Amino acid sequence: MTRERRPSAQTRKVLLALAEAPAVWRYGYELCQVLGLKAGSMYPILMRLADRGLLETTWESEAPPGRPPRHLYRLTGPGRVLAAELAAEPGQGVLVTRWA
Amino acid sequence: MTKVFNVAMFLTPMAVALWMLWRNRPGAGLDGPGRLVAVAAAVLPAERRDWGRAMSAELAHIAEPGARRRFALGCVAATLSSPHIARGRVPFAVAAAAAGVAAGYALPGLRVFAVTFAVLAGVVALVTRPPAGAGAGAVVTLAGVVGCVCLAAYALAAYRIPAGEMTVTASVQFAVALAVSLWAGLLPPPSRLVAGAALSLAVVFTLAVLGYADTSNGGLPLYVLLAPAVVFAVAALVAARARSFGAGVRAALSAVVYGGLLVFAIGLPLSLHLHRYGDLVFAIDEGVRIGENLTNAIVVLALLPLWSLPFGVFGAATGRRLHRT
Repeated sequence: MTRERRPSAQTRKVLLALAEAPAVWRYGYELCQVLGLKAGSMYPILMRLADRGLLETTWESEAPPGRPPRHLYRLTGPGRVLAAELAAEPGQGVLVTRWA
Repeated sequence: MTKVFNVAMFLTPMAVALWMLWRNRPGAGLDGPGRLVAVAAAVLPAERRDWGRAMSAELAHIAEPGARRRFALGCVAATLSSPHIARGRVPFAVAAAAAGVAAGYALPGLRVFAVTFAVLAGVVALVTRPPAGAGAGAVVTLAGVVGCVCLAAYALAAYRIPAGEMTVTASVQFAVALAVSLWAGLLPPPSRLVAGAALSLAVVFTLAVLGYADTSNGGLPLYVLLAPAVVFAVAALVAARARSFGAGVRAALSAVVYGGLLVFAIGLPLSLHLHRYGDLVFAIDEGVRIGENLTNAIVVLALLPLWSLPFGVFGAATGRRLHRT
């Protein structure tokens, strides 16, 4: 029997923020800025979510000239389900992320 | 004076190779934050390389200097704390350390080696971040390391070499050489081209060393010149073919590690066998005691890769340059 670890507070923030517009691809620095997290916290969280199949990743198809394409992220189906469960937990409140 | 000259001959290629590695380090030519992120990305394990590219790409879109610095420092922290998939590394290092400890327990002559090697294998387990699953290179290296420990134990027991012959210096050299081999074997697997070239090079390297190891005619054994020449040539070919300085260096590193283990594994039994007939393989002077076959084989295991690898770096730089022109 496997036991799922409960996500940390920071991981919850990331999951809930991505779940606000689940079809939209977000990039790492954007997530850092809107959630007030440092890259040192954000990337390990994104890596874990991707490892667990909760996050899908792709590369930007049209990068600005002279700049490399960015890595983009959004929740997978199981990721959205987990985010919905977390949002429904009592005391969670409503998180509204201020996207740029 | 001759001693100073010999040390200078040994250290000069290493110093030049280190300088070339520094010039070709990840992120050379970038600003401070760019270099930091490039180095952070380079030390990520193979299956995390996309995340390293992601961090570098993200940084390229940040213009404000302060934000770039903060983001770069965050990337370094992310690299240090990234969840890595470490299946296989601890069992490998533990297996190697166990072989060392078992040999040390059974034979007093290997006790200093056993303690040193167990500590170093633990450090290797902590600092390496190999990819998920054991690559063929890791299995070959582990087999080579365990084989070398068993051979040293066999030599001490079967030829009744006194424990005192295995000096502290030889024990530490043996432990360091095997731990470095273990570390190199646990690096993420190189491409097929690099792996194939490294393996072929290791075989040629071994043949060159064993074929030209006889010093009975006096002077320097020919392998001291041949081994670096072979490493140089193959590193240059790999770097030119793969269009990558790093691929050439990696081929040279794998080759000298495999080659060093192979030279020890074949050369030690051979030298012990020939010693019975008064012939020598690794002897530096005439009239060696039988125990010196073991300590000389250890010196060759420790120093020959160290001597040859800088020439692999030169070869990689030459191959990369040849491809550009």
